[in-house]
Amino acid sequence: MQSLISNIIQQVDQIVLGKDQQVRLSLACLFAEGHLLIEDLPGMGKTTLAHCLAKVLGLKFERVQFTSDLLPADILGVAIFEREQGVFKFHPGPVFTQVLLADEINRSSPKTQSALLEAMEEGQVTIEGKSRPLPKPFFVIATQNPLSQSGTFPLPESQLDRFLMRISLGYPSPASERMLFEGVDPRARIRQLTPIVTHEQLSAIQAAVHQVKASDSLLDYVQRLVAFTRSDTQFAYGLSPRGALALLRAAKAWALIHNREYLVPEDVQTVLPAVVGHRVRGRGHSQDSEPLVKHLRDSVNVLG
Amino acid sequence: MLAKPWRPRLTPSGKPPKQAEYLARDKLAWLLVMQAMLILPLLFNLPFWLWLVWAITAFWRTQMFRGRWGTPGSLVKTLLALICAGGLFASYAGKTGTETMVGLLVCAFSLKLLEVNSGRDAQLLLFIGFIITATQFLFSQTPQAAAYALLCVVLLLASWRSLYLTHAQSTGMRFKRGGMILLHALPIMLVLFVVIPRLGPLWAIPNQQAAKTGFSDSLSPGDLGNLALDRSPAFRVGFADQPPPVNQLYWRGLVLDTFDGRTWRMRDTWGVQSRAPNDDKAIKRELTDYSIIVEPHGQPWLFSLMTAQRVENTSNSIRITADSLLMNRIPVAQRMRYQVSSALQIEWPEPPQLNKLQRDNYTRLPRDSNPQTRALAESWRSQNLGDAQIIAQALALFNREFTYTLQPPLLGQHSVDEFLLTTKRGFCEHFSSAFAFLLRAAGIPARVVVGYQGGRWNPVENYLLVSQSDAHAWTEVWIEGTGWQMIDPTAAVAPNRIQQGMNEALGESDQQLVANAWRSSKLLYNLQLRWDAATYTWQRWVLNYDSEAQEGLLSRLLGGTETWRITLWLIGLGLVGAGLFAWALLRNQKGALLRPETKAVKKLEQKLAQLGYRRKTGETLGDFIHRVLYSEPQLKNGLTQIAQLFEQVAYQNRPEQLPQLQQAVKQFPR
Repeated sequence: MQSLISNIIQQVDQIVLGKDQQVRLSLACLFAEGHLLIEDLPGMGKTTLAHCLAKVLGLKFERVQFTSDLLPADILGVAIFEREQGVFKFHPGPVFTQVLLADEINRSSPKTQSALLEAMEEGQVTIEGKSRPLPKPFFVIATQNPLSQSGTFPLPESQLDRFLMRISLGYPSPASERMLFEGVDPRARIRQLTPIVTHEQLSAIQAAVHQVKASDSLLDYVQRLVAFTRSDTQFAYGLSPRGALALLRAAKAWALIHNREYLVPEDVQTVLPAVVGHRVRGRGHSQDSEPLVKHLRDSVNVLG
Repeated sequence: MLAKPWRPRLTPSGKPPKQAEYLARDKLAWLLVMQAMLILPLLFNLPFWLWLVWAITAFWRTQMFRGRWGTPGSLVKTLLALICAGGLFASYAGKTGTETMVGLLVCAFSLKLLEVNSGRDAQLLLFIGFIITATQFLFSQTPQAAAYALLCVVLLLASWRSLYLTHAQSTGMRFKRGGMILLHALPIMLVLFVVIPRLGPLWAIPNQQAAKTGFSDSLSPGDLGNLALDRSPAFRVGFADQPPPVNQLYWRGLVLDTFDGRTWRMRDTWGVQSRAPNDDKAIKRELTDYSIIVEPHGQPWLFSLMTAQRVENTSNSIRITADSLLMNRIPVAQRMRYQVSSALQIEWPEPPQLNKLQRDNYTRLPRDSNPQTRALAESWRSQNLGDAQIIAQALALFNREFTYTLQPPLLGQHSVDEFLLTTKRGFCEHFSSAFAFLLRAAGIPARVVVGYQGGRWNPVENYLLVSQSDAHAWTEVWIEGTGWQMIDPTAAVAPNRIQQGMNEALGESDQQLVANAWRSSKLLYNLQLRWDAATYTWQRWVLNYDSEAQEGLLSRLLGGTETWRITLWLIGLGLVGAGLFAWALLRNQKGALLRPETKAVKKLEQKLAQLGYRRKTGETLGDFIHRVLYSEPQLKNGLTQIAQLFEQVAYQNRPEQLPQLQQAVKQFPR
């Protein structure tokens, strides 16, 4: 399994250049059965990463470009009257897939954003009173532009909470950018990618995440972290139990990627910004949660 | 006992419920139980109808709670108070003593219950309760009484706490919390007990006349036999050094020197019958120092070994009579402690003399009594035997023909004649009486001494317990050239009585008799020993802790008794206590919950801090060690090992590696 994981990482790394950490984080997110939110400026490789992940994992991939006039039916599907048969027939939308890339999700109205809620949480959609299960596995990889950009609707907290991780890619290093210039177009290379993971193998990896052990000492640390967000004055509100569980699950996936059967505090600290960053908000007006997460990490004693 | 939600209830008359119902059920129950416990020991010493007063008020208060009866009006209350006061007046015939006053307090305590409507009233009741608890000590100061009082205080504190409880709590928990409060106060209590100046009693405790126990100031046949079954302690003796051998342990109480044919009596006055024994010229040998704690026996006399030279007690109320006996100024109504120094042997440089009057006194016999004994003595005298030979003759007579028994036949008018010549069975008073009579008849000065002989050694606390059953009578004979000499005719008959105690000296039927009274199993015997030792310690360290003992203890503990010294020590103790408390608080907050592996790492951090490296709060141990190794690569081996071990113990659930981790930290940086 370990060689398989490193194989996947290697494949993705070849296309998304110089973004080792982000690639591993997004893989950890998928292994932990969580949805991923990638936040960055346009053109930073968000879509490439998402597409690449889907392809390598051998999953059915759909992409929805969110616009301000996008309606829920456009994502979920719609029932159309078939004149010959005299019945309404359901035409499934793009959500019926395994990896859904919701591009620029914050460009659409909240109504459309919330259409994704049920799909993300329950793994099913309900249209016209009928629940329809989504295929398994089901990942949403959403990208969004920074909120400061014009024409964006901020995602509500409830929806943000449904993403296991939020990462940003950032500008590439000069060396990787040079390689990008010199190399073949990434899109062409994605097309050439072949799946290297079967469906069963992916399930096995996801099951292995749950087998990673968290000792009492480590759980103490996680609890201290959570308690700090709830008591410290810089936080407007603390982490929910779901947030705490998410932190633990993401850290386990991270430990698995690094071939460990047990958690160490470093795992928690590494996934901390990605998991906690979009779940907390400071008391000030700043939307940027990075200093807040850093404050959290630096203030809580690792050893008790 | 769970608090039930309070539900308003209408009185039968349809009026809204009285204030009285506002005390919740469980709080009232606690108050009632508390009151019952507190006054229970007092009621044994007070008139029986006080039980009734409490029972009636308790019932009334319960009915008030249930809404059946109303709150008594002021007329009823006044009437009740008057009835109680009148009852007390009648019971004590107008005397105002301790018991009357305590009775009044108990009445007030009981009646107050009718007025308890709110938590505030209940609090007042509790305050009276504390005073009531203190009054328990007016009647008994034994360790049991103290334990009971302690229990009462716990109950009071628990009830007090219960008044403010807003939620249900189990009875055990309430007791536990009440006990905790007391436990917190205990150190302060101890310190105050030790250092608070001991004033003499501000008032005497009157009418505490102890019932007279033990022997009386006269001795007729059968008197001491009754005491043989009485196991209650008479007094306890602690020796400064080794105790004297058991055959020297004759605790003299009284000298009886007048005989009327049947009964030996003490002369009316404590006069100067013989010359003072503590003559300056006398050479005292085998001086023995001991201290005695005597149980109240309602008589003025106290006990000492022959011959008491010096006696001390705190109130200096004891003096030594001419017969070397100890006499207290007033009858002993409370336990008291005194120190005696006795000379077991005295040698006189020139032979002591009895004057004519004394000699007459000690040889006087009633004219017509016991003619046969007289004849016997005179026959000895006429054989031209010397004093020593006559004494030997008499002892030999006892030894040959007499039996020691607790069930002697009854004796008539000429008791000595009947005993000596007919029954020949008797107890120590028969022997001593007959012996003294014989000698007096032969013209040798002799007297009967009553007291105690022997005692049981308590190895737990190293003291001698002398019980009532050790009561004994023996004789003292005037030997020309030596003075008064103790001679115990009982020893001639039943040497075991002296050597091992009475039980061994008795025949089978007597043993049966005694066994029912006090012979018990080995375990019970040991328990008895321990319990008595506890009583002795209690008496010695708590009840006898007077100003003198305090001074002694303080100067031993603190090196002096000056005020500044005590103040300084108190402040010091307070600071130490506060420091300990603060330390415990901090420790609880910081360290007590740390896992052992974390403690080990803290030690490592201390060592690295000396090198100038400090782990940041949010830094993992691995990151920290990495940072240290960057500039201190020579520590690589030790630190990497520790990091690995810590990871194994803390995160891989391998606690078996803990000793290795601790060892590695200990050895670091070598």
